[in-house]
Amino acid sequence: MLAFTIRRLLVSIPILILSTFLVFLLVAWGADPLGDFKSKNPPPSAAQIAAREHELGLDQSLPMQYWNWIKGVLHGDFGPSVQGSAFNIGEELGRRTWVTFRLVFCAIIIALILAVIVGVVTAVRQYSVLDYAATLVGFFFLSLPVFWFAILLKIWATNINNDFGTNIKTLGPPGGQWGGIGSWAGFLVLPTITLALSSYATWARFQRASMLDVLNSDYMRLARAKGLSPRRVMVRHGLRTALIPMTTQVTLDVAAIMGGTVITERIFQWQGLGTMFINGIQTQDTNTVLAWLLISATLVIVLNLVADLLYAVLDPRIRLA
Amino acid sequence: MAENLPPRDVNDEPVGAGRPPVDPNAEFLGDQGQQPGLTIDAVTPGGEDIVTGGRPEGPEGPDHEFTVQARSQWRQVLRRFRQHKLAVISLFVLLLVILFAFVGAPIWHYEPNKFTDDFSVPPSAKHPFGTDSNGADHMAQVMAGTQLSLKIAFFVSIVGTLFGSIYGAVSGYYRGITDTLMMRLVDLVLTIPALAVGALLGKRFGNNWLLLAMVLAGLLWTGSARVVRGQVLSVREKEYVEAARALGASDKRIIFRHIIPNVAGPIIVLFTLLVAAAVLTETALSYLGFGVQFPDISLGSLITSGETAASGGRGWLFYFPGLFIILIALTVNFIGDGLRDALDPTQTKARA
Repeated sequence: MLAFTIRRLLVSIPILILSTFLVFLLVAWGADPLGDFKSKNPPPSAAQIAAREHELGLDQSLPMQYWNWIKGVLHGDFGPSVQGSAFNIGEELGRRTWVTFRLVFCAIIIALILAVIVGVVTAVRQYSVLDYAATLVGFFFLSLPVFWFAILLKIWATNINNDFGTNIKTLGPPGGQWGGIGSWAGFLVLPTITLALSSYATWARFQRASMLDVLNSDYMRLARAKGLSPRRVMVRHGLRTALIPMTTQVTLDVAAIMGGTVITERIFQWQGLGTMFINGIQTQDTNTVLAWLLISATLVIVLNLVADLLYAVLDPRIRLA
Repeated sequence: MAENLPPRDVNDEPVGAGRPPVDPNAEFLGDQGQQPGLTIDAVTPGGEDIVTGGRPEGPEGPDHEFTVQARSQWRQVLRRFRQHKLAVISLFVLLLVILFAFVGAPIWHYEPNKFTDDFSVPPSAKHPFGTDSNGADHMAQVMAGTQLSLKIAFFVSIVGTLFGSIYGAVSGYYRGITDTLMMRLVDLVLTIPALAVGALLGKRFGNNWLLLAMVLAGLLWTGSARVVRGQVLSVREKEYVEAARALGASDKRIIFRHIIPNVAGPIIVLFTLLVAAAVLTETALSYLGFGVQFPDISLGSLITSGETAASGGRGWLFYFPGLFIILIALTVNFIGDGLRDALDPTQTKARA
């Protein structure tokens, strides 16, 4: 197990390094941090542009730029921002991570619980009306444009608030004032549903398939044959095994969920990482965009590592390998 | 139950009965066509190609027999597909949507960016989808948006599936260090959210739909690469690949003539699923303002303007484009599901 952990860790590190390099290349290629500056009226002189380039370190070669950036990141400095000197990327990240984390965490938990319940029930009652209905609903969620559905939720919530005097929040808290835990719920409901939906659809199908695999296996027949109660067979032998593949699936989908936060936060106007990323692209603030991509890539790699290790703990067959 | 029998059983008979004398100079592919292992997969377009490919020209006898056989297997796929009612209905609806976008737009007497005197009119006989505040006919806008979104989606899935499949096939075929390196690259691409990179590059390339489609294809090919690699890992151990290698076929030939045709089933399914993924990603980017840009119209950019309209009581500007995105994605997903059942006789519905 220890050897496996070390080996797996050693594989992750070069991937993380390569990932930072890929991210850096993509951003260097896809964004021009001086775009706004150059299109100013009156146009800045060549000397001004050169001075600004020097200020942002853009006059150096690409490998040198990468080296300076990664050196800064390791020291907790994400580099200067074109959104003004008051905009400290590191501080912004710290403040916004918690906002986004809360959203992602709630969405994953809700999607996971729903997916496991629906997946198991539809597998046990395969080909029942319930199974077909759940499959249809799942297909529908898979085909739903998330941003469109989020706007629809906002419209519905406004109507419900008007009709019943409820207080479902359709926008994030102004100025980031979240209030106490009690008031979180109002803010969290709609964004969480939005973010959870598409993951739920994928995971419920996955859980169903994984449960069906288990249900048809020999050891389940054996467990029944030796007279265990149906409940015990289902939970101890069936569900426990069928949950193992889900760990991998969930961590693999974290990248997609991070992408989903960009849309969700934008529509519900949350001041989280996703909004920061969008602002970063709009202002062509390369260092902000880089910081976001770096965080999300690191998260995915770390979670994949965790999933692999968990898998080895949960599935005894892996240990032999 | 009959449809679950592998086609091999159906084909055993003709193989024994009318087997032509083997021409020692004939291409080995021709003879391969008679092996049970391959005839199963003659279901695929590539498979059909193989069967007709290496055969000496001749109107009568064995040649004829094989053409019929390949067709009968296509018929079987068609029959199985037809049993999936939702998939058949979906195919029909999708064709209607395609007709609506590509044939409807030139016929319809309004243009998407041309203003009329009817400002913010709700749906009526004159403007079935209503008009926006500038008086532009919304149905013409939805037609144009559907057209562009479909064009991008099909381009993305053709290029993405093609590249991903070849990539996966090469990786799975060579195994070892090549495989490890190639799959690590896939892992690398997977660490970055496609939507985020799409937004970054779409901001720069969005004004040209072809470039935008290239960017999306560059982000969405990894799924096919992974699946095809897995399939190839098992197919490459099959006897007919071994036979081809023993006959001295080059790697390129084995990959393109033997392996890819035999994993065509999953590739076709991946293709359809990628269409849905591409539509959803492109419209999301266009909604955010990082995709298709004015004067081009996408279903996503229509929703950007429809968002404020909907809260102002002009919901038609919001619901119609959304409805068309759902129609495309949903029908394509159902068709993919139907094809999966139809193309893979060994896969039960349970695993779909």
